[in-house]
Amino acid sequence: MSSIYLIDYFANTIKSPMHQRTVISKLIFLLLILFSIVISESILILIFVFLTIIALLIAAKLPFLKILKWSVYPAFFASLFALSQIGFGLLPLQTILRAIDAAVLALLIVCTTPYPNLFSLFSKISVILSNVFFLAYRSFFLIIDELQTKIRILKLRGGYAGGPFRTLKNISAVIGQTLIYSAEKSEIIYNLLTVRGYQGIIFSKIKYKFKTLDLILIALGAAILILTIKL
Amino acid sequence: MAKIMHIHIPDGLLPIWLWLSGYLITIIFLLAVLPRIRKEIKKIPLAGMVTAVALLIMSVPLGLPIHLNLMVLIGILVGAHWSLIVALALNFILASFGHGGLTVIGLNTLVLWFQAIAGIFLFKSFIKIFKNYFASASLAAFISLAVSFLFFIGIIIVASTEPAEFLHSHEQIGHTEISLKTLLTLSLPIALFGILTESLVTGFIVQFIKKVKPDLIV
Repeated sequence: MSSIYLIDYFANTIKSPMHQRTVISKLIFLLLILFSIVISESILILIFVFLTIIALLIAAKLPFLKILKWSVYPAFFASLFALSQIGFGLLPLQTILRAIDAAVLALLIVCTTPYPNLFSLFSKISVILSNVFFLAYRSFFLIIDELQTKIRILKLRGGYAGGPFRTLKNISAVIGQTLIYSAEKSEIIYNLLTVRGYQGIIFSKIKYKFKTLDLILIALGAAILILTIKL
Repeated sequence: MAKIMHIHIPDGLLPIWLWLSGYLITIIFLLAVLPRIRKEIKKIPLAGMVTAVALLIMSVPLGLPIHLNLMVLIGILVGAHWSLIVALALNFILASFGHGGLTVIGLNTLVLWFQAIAGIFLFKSFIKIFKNYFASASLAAFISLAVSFLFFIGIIIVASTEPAEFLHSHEQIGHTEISLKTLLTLSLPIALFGILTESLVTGFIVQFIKKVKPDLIV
């Protein structure tokens, strides 16, 4: 549960050249690198991409070991597929490396970009979408304490005892309570937003001005993609 | 923590045409759904809240090596149109925050939305037959999740087939880069366990909400 807290903290409090890049340049970089990861059939390229992202994580003053730990989750699922690919040469290793590379890449972007900047891009597609993204993210921090407290109380009162069936029933009641709390809270939020003149649009202003380092970041992504295609 | 309830295919495994098709179909559905919900601005905070709860629920320890999606329940709570928005938001946030699968956000959204739509339809049908909220919601969730698992397997089969061969041949292609048998052996027990757990939890929650705040159920 704490990973979103930490990601939010990293994106909003750390100051580094990577944090100061525009959302657009970071997203172009992400797309270029992601495309390299997807099309690459070379283990060396995948390792190179991984090391590049690690270098950028370090340059962004982010705790790369913690971020690597978070990428274990997709690596676990990739291993299910990798095990099904045994006998196809280096394919299992490629599958796991691709999963880790893509996960760490995504984390690099979200840990260096405050979420309003990231989600505001969706307003170009649909205002409703960007509103839901924004409110979902904000609501996460409103609900997390509520749910954690309820889970703690459940544990203290022996809610996890009495076998798996009873445990599931107790946890379901907690989730049900949280959903009801969220529905009631959403009505309050809507009323508050309406009082402030909300008509289905939440405005956010982000900077699009490119600097030299933005261009260098895009050039790095493009260079890796060209290298991937050439190899 | 196993999450095979919706596709958890890593990036780079599926051919580009397949995941791009996932994005394209999702965009087409979005273009159809967005005008219908444009005036329902009161539901925007609810959709945001439900997405946040779903994100959190995925982190709740169940005492079992799985976690939940609850898309069937979300479908029952917010309805068919809004569940597409919730599914997209959920997948985008999860993929961005280290769960992986940036390229399969489109396909994942379609699978989750399918779970929600099938869940709503089955729940409404079963409730007329059984007159019991727990049984109706559990059975609706079980069938929706089981079918979406078959959808997941279908995607893997399609992924290991060339598009031209897929369109023009009805024969099973011999060459595949994934052993479907091994994948099924590994994923089926986890999926069955997960589907059963999620079905029970969905039933319990719907029963609970029916008792405490029945107007929440669409």
